[in-house]
Amino acid sequence: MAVTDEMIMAYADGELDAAGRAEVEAAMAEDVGIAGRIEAHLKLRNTLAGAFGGVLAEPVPERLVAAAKRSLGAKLDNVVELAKFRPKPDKPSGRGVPRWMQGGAIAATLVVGVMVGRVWLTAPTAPMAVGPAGQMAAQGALATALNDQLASSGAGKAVAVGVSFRSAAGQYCRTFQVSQGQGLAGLACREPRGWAIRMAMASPAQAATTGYRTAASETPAPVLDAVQGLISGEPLDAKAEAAAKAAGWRP
Amino acid sequence: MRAEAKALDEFQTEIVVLLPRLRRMARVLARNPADADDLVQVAVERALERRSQWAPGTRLDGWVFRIMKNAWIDETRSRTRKGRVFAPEAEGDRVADDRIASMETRLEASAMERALAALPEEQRLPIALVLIEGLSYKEAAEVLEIPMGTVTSRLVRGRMALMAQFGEGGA
Repeated sequence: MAVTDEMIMAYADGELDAAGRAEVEAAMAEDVGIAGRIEAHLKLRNTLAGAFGGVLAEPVPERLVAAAKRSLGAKLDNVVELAKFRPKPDKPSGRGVPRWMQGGAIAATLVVGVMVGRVWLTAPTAPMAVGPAGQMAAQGALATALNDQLASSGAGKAVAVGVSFRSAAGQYCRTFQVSQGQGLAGLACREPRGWAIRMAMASPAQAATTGYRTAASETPAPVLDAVQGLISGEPLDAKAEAAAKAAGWRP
Repeated sequence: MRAEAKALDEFQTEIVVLLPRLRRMARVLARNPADADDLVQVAVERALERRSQWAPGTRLDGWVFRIMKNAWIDETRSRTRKGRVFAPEAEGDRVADDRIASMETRLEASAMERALAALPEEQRLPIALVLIEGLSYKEAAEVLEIPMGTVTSRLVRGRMALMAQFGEGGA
């Protein structure tokens, strides 16, 4: 039985299963032309890759590099709205455990928000909980720290609070880092019923660091980008921070 | 703080690393270096805006290629609407020939580049993804958002045409 062009091509590309390979190889024994056709496919692959290889060596125009490096502050509403990515408990996680959780640690991606939800929400001492509307709220030690802890007093604690500031909407918002478990960094804003998590990401580097640290200086870049996207004016200084705390973070 | 906020995260770093390959793929799509770089820029911007939709652990290159393919479809549609290119169907070939000719002078494109550029887009894309970018058929099907069988048949047609042209055997 003659093998088709598609099969010969797929053989050359390593796309056939064992049965398909056996079929092509059996045909090859009968028809010497088949080996030549396979070789032609391999040769075409080389020629094509060579023909388009030149562009890889060209310098990349600066505008393209700039586009890739652009700060996401301006687009932040599209990116970090956690409610959109809240975990769906009834849906099995088809992709298995993401690579970063296996220790290969991607330092900082906002998408991690999803994963953070999935991991943390199942833990009994989770710092966040999903509200009925899908909004993520701080709870437990994180909520306590956001309420009571000043930026200056975070050293050595499980939760460190970084910068505090007013959002364009007038809310008080604070960055935080949790060193428990995988480590978590994020940004929460005070709403009437509690601290709403505006963004959060796994921050494994923080978890690996034990002991003393200065929270603000280690806040991951995506969190700082989120701050840039929300902040109105300057971050609160120590005096303004203490005053806001005294007022229960109510605007 | 500002300096730190500008620091690239992993995702952006990976996009920067991908840029040469994105440019290569864009040239296969747009067949003209200037248009190709515009296409890369659009694709990169969209990728950053939609980064939350990328599933970590899956191929970032394929994901951005898909964004680029869709950006290219949007672009060619809007050009058609504006009547800039391919307005009457019959003129399509001539316009395409002009673009290939201009690429030839600017790039001194190889015979193979010209031959690929002359193939219909539906064959050009699977060939670029599989033979130039090294994706599997399945991965190419995901980028192109078409069934794998369709990828295979378009791939074989395009390749037979190229091989016939270059006297590299074939059926």
